[in-house]
Amino acid sequence: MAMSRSSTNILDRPLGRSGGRAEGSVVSLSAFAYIYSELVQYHQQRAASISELERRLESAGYGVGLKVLEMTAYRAKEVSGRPWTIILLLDAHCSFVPPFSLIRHRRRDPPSRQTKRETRLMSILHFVSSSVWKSLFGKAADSLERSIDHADEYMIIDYEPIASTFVSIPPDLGQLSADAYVSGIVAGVLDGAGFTARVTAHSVKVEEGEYTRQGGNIIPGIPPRKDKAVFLVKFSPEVLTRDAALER
Amino acid sequence: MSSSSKAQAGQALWSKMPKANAELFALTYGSLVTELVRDYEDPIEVNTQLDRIGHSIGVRCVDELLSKADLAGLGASSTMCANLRDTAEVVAKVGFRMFLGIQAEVGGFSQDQRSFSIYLQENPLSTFVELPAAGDDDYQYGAGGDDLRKLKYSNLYCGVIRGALEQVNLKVECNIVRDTLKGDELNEIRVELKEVLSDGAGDDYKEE
Amino acid sequence: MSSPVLFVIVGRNEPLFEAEIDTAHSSAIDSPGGGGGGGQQSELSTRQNYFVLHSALDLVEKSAWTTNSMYLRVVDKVNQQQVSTFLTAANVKFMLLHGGKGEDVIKNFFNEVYGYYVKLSMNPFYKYDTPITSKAFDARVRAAARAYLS
Repeated sequence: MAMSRSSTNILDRPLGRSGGRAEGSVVSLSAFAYIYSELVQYHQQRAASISELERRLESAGYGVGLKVLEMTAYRAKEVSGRPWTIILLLDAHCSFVPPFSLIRHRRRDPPSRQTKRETRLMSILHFVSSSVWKSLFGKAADSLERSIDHADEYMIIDYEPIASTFVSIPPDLGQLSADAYVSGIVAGVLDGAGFTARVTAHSVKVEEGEYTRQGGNIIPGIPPRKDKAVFLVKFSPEVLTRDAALER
Repeated sequence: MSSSSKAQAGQALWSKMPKANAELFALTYGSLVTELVRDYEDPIEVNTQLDRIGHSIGVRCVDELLSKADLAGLGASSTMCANLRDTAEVVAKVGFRMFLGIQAEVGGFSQDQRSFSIYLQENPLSTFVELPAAGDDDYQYGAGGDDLRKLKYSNLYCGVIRGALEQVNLKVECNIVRDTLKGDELNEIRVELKEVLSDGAGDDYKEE
Repeated sequence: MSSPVLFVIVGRNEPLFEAEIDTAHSSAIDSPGGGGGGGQQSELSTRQNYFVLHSALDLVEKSAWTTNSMYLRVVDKVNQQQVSTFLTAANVKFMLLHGGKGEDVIKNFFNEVYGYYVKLSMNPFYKYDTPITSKAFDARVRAAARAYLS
């Protein structure tokens, strides 16, 4: 066979273990921050405006999101349980303009070993805010909320988003550009799965008493952010039409 | 400091570092490299750019290393880097360990003690990477498959080491001489001392 | 009795990868990347095969949203030919044209190919929905077909 390098080929090794590391392995947050801020700077040098920089970072994140979607789904066959029961709750702390309702979820079925795709709007949102968030950031997103007024709008909220928590962004750029990469990842996951959406990152001031870290320090050594990251997901009309049709 | 105490220091610092997912790290670096390949096309130029970017990281991360080592009471920077052997050990056992959590080894000192190698079994930068094989058709990023074989995917390391050592007044040249992406059994970074810069902290630096 | 199978990966709009595999051969006789036979008859049947696969695509789109399984089983039958399909999380279609293999062996084949596909797609140098040119991938798919579908 012509495969002289077959024993070292990446296709023959467990996913993500080319360097002998296991799934879920870590590097220092500093190392990520150094690389990420270089990525931001690289795009900044080529962008004429902040909005172009955000577009470039979103686009970089989009490609990563498509990869993360397959990776997370592929691994989920070992551990996941679907579907979810969905309970809608109104929560005073989570009011946002327009008002959003907090969505809580709970696993219903025992874990299955089948490979699954997400075909429903709520299940893909949970996949993103739970499975994808865990695999990338080590924890689920802090909340998932639905717009009361706009059926096509949802928010994924993270009080300590990794991309901007520790990355030194030049003061004139603000926090928005840092979270743009993550909103690109979310858009990539959603679009890949067939849920085309416009995803934008917003920095929203954390109200006093709104959020306290569990166990004191989720990421030791990192000061708390004044702002939370809100990823606003606005689905395209076709997606809502299709999902409504599946409801029947 | 002995080699094993440096390894302990590296481990101690690593255990205190806030962590990030290694796959997000690898994918983010991958996004940077593919962007460079798209923009510069020539892989040799991409190698240069990766070295330049690494240099800017190295300049900053050496400060973090030295201040965290001082805070942890691991001795002043001058005693950590009394000669090139010590410096090499700090780069490998403390630097690679505290930032990437990986084990790096030092060896291959030249007779004149002016060059050495750092060996990495694992490489968190290239976790998902397979360079296009010589016979594969062109990949979609500008350069053809054969050309991308000239890409030094992890050349960032060279820049980081160069930038970091420059901050402690050591001018070095750095090259990736073995690469698991090219079929070698491990990664080897060759570091060669070019000049000891004579201002500031380098004054008490003695060559052996 | 083994008959050749045709395996195609289809992206959003066009095929990204294809391999015609004669599962009767237990050793690696097929030339990588080139498909199985070279005679006129084989070419004719291949063209028919593409027609069958192409018409099955519409049926795949339909069933895609009615199940959350990746494995869609046989989506179309034309004469003796059956089309089995597997949809990845990002809706990349794996389509296998065969003369009637067991559901389980096809599922196992698809699952193995999915593993290769995910590893391939994690590579920063592979961009989503672009042709797959990796010879290593081609070789793994052919080996998997021979292992499961012979």
